[in-house]
Amino acid sequence: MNAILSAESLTFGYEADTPLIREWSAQFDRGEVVAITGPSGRGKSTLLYLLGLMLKPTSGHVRLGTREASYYSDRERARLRASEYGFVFQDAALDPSRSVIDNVIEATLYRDVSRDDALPRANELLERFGVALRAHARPGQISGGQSQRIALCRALLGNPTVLLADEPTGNLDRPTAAVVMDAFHEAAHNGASVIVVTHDLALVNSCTRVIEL
Amino acid sequence: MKRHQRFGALLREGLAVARSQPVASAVTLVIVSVMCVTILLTSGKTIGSEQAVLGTIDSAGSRTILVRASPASGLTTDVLERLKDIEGIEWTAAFGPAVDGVNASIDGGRKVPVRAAWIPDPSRLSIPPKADADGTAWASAQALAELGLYDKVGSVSLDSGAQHLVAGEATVPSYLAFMEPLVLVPQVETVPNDDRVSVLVVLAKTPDLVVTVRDTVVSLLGVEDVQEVSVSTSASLANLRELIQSQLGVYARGLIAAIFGLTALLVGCILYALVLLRRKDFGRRRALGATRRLIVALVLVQTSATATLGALLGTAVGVIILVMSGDPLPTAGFTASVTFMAVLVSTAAALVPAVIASRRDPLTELRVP
Repeated sequence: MNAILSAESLTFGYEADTPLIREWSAQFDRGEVVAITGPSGRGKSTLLYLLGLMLKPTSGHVRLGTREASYYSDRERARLRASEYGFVFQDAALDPSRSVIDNVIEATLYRDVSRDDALPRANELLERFGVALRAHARPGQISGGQSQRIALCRALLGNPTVLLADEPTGNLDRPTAAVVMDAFHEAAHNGASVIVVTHDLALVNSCTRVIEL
Repeated sequence: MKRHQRFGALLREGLAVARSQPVASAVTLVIVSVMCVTILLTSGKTIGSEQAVLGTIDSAGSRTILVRASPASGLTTDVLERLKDIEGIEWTAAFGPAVDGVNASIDGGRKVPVRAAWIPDPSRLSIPPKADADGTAWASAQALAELGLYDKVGSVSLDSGAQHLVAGEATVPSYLAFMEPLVLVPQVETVPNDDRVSVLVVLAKTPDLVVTVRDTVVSLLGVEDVQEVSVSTSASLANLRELIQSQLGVYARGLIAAIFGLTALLVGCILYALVLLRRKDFGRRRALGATRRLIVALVLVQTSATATLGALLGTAVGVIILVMSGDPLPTAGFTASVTFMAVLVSTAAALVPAVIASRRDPLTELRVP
């Protein structure tokens, strides 16, 4: 397997003298679905955002392929987030003022892809995840499960190299959680590396690897 | 994407954000509208009044240099040739001594002064350009009435026995009103021309040139006896004009600056509050890959779109109120500048909140409940 993402001696703390993550290293390969688990407060989400280039480590490295991505400029890291990453947040984090379809294609603006080019793929994803009929609804008009599936559509739209998910099934019923899990495995099958922070045992058990913090 | 496509996408997103924040957009729109209305109803009105006052002063002849010469002065129509190419002179006319003329059809009719006139550009008095070729006369409305020529045609006979056909009415600008009632007999200009001139009128191009042009005219009169010539100008009117212009200008500029400043502060505060309310939105955008520059651009596009709408609305309302109240309107340039500046000031005021929005840490913002 080919390593897409690696962390080397990663250290980070919100306060300088009390690191939350200390000298942490791992490697993530293509086709993997990796679960990161552990008790609350250990820094699982923080680790995910370090791997997602939203935070800069105090020391250590995050490498995306051969690129020393964690110390890139803010602009470069933003571009990598737009082009190489897909994110699924715990609460879906949809824009409540925009339609479902607008939420799905939001990141195309950051990726320099035109709306027209992205629409067919967005509609295809909505269809696949059973929310096509809600394409023009507002997030406030749909259920939590549908919101998370829409967030998944948004994350998958750009065919990301790395898919990061923070408690993606935390608020979902079992059938919806199963849909999300299947989507992760399919993304991995298509060559992505999927990293999931979760407490959901069913999701943990379906992963190809588990990292305990 | 190509550059124009990227700009189009940014514009579309900015407009969508503006629509998605109806309260903030409406408040911004109202503030900018009120700013434009206030400026137009205060400074705009002041400037409109200023233009009206200056127009009145100008029409009263703030640019006039008047030379009166007695027959002994030796002032001749040659002076027109000398003044022809002088920079700063807009119009010249020379008039001969007044001789009595009466309506040739009425015995013992009322006498009016008739003057020979040398006018390089007679159209200013509504006299045709070639009127000097046939010896016809042109009379002011007052002169026509006093001569009893109600059809504006007829003939006048002079004491010398000469007669001139009155071919029409001449309009008399305010700076020639002192010669009323006025009957003019345009003369062919010949060079050299030594016809005697009793009145020379010179118009400077602008009021501030009056003194310079007066000095030039005096130096080019070519008279034999300076004591026999009197030169009067509207320099005091020109000074008054300048004083009004500068005083009202300072007042209007100060007021405009204060209104713009207040608006910028209000718009800045609203957008700062909006940025605080939209922390999660900016956090999500940053997490999904929006650069800081893009976040700044989005906030600026959102603000400028709302401000443009507000400025157009406010300007339209302001102009309508001025028209309905019968107040003087400011110039189109001033009105357009107010609209443009309103958009510019609002957009500039959005810059600080926009930069603050772009500097937020995406992770912290995403965790905002």
